[in-house]
Amino acid sequence: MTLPDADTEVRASSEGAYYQAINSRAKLDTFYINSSNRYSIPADISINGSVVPTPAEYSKLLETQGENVLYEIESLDAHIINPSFQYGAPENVYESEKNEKSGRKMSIVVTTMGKVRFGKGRDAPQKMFNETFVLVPNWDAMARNPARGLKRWLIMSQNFRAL
Amino acid sequence: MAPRGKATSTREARNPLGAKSSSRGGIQKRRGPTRVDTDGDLDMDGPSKRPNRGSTAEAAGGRSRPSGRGPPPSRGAAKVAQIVMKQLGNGSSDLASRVSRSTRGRGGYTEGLTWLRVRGLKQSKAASNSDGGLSDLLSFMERKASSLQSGRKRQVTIRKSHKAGEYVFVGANKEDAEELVKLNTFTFAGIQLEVVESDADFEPPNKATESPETAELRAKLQAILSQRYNGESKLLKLDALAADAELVTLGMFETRERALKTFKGLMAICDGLFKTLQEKKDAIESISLANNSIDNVIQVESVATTFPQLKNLDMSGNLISNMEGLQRWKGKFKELDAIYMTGNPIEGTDPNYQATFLEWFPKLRSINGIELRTEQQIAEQEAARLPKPIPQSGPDFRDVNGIGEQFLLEFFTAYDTNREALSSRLYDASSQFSLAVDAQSVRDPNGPPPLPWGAYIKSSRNLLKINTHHARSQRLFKGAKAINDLWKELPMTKHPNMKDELSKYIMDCHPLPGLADPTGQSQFGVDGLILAVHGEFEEYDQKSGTTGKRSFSRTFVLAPGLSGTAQIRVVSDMLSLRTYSALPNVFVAPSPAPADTANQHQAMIAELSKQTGMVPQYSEMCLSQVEWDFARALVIFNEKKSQLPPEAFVSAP
Repeated sequence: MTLPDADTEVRASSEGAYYQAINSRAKLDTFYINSSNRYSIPADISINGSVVPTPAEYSKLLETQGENVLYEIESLDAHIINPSFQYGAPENVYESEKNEKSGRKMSIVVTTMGKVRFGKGRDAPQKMFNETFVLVPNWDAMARNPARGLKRWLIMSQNFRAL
Repeated sequence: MAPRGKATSTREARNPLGAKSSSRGGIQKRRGPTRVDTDGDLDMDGPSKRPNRGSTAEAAGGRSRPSGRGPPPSRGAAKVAQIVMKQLGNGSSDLASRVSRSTRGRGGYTEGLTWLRVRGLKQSKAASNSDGGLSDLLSFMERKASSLQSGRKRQVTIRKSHKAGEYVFVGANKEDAEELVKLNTFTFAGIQLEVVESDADFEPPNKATESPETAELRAKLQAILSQRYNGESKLLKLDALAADAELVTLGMFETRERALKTFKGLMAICDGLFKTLQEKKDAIESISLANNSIDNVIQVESVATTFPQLKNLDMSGNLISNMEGLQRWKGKFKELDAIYMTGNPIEGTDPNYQATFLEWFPKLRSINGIELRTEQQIAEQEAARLPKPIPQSGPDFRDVNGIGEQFLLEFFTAYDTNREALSSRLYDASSQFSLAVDAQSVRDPNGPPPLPWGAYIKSSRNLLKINTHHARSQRLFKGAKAINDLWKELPMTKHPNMKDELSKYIMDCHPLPGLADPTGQSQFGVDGLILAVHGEFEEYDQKSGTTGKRSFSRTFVLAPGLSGTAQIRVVSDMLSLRTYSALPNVFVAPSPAPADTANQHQAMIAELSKQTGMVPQYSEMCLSQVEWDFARALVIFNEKKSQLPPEAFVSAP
């Protein structure tokens, strides 16, 4: 019943990477289920109340904010919502049992809270934000010799609100 | 030698306005009981107050070596400062008195030490030793002084020493100093030493002491600078320096290298005049560098660093021929309003430099006296560069059968009034709850004082702060009972009624597939909902008796209920807490962005064309003449209708 706490550490590091990517205006595609053929549905991305169809569109939206917009997370929490996620799984998951035991097949809900800083300097305006992600296994990474750089979990659902 | 500004310092006596010291301007030999603090500032309080000052931390530290502290601006420039300040208007202006005051205060001398000034080391053969011969000199002096004593011999010790330019300052206790001073005219390493009591019991400044020659030169440069400053127009005229008879006489522009050094020196002197950027900005708004044969601004780069807030710059009549020659000023002069470049070859070779200037200098309005953009345009351009948040929309509430809405309407009331019933009804053995505190959140400066976190912090599962496996699993509450046990401990809350005060909430809701099916019937899991709610609540902490507001965000994952119980169950409930700060109201339509002006104009053009039959170009001309006042545009149209050429109309009217 108790899955390894590895989940939270994985989350912590992957969330860090995600905001780093946002701040550096890196491509976001690889963070989402849109990048995997195993998932037939696109990620559900909702930003400030508007549905954004693709990660690329979200990148564009981020760019319209202009230069020097910085996201900084200050709190993070995560729950496992399904220890044995099946959606989009291949018929024969590589080392299925072992992966399930080690928690690699679970889906997770993550919430973050932090600040968006608009502009450089101490006087730059800041706003709080809260964001919720649902992460699901990246089946492509669960293979004998997975391609390098694949994320273990992908975003299936995302909800961002500036507060 | 050209003055090197910060590196050197004249410890010249200055006379702050109204001070009763007799030392009046100019260079002055150290003499008498005048004392100077560690920065080489004269202490106008005189020696009588000395004991008090000895207690300052700086003084007590008694440094014997030059410290890492940055050198303060050259005070030798103080005289020019006085002149400049006087010219600024009334000599007793606030500015002037501030400047003079600023050079006072801060004591610093080493208690009990008597200081001697020793000259000759630099000229001696020992100067070529690794440490410049200092240790040799010191041991020579200690040895000689010890052996000189008549009667009972006592070891003479030099407590502190300090090399400064031509001189070595040595500090010893009074008794030893009396012996050491007898070494005057003794020969050390082939040179006759000059050992005199230093003019007071101060520790000399930790900077090179100038030779008399340097000090004199500095004074002359200061005089030249003050002549070239016009206080009324706040203009420093540094034009045609090579043609300045006095500078030429001084030989300051003999060679290129010399000229560059001179210029740097001048800038350093200028810099030393002002204690703060604001004073500098107030005193000097314009600088002329005209007719100086400058072909690359590297040669005068220090103008940019010394006067970053300069408003007007005259570079006319120089030899700048391409952008390369200007490159070093890129990103400098953030406040520059006007620049003159006439008479530079670049005007013929690369007239595009003007566009580049407008990019480099964000506040630049005019070049060569021609206004290229207005202040308003600059402000607009700046506003356009500012980051803009992603716009807010109302709730993205993609509910299924009204389940999410129903849940929210019930939830907060139940949480406020009967948590136990809530937990037993909607939570089951596999439900999870945790809370996370963000204690650094942005808060409204006009908002209420922040509440303490004591009631929450021990169960906060902020994974950025809680790093151990044990603590993390302890702070994850699983099962209705565990959750209710925690809820009982948490402060009482009162959430706004969602129906009455909707704008105090923001809520989004989306379907979420792939949730675990506890019945095991559906292999691919069941569909549920994920809700994110943001809002505020009033809190009453029964333990500490504190009340107040707090802001929260709460994420719920809901799955279909198991047969026999409620319609839904909570799979996951994550509460994020932060200091109270009102939410943006996302329920009102966002105000039209400024970018919409263009669209509005287009719409007005179309409407006017429709009503008048004019082609869009004429409609636009007409509207822009009346500042986009549609009614007035119609009036003007009717007045001038008959005078309009036929091509103004789409077809004959």
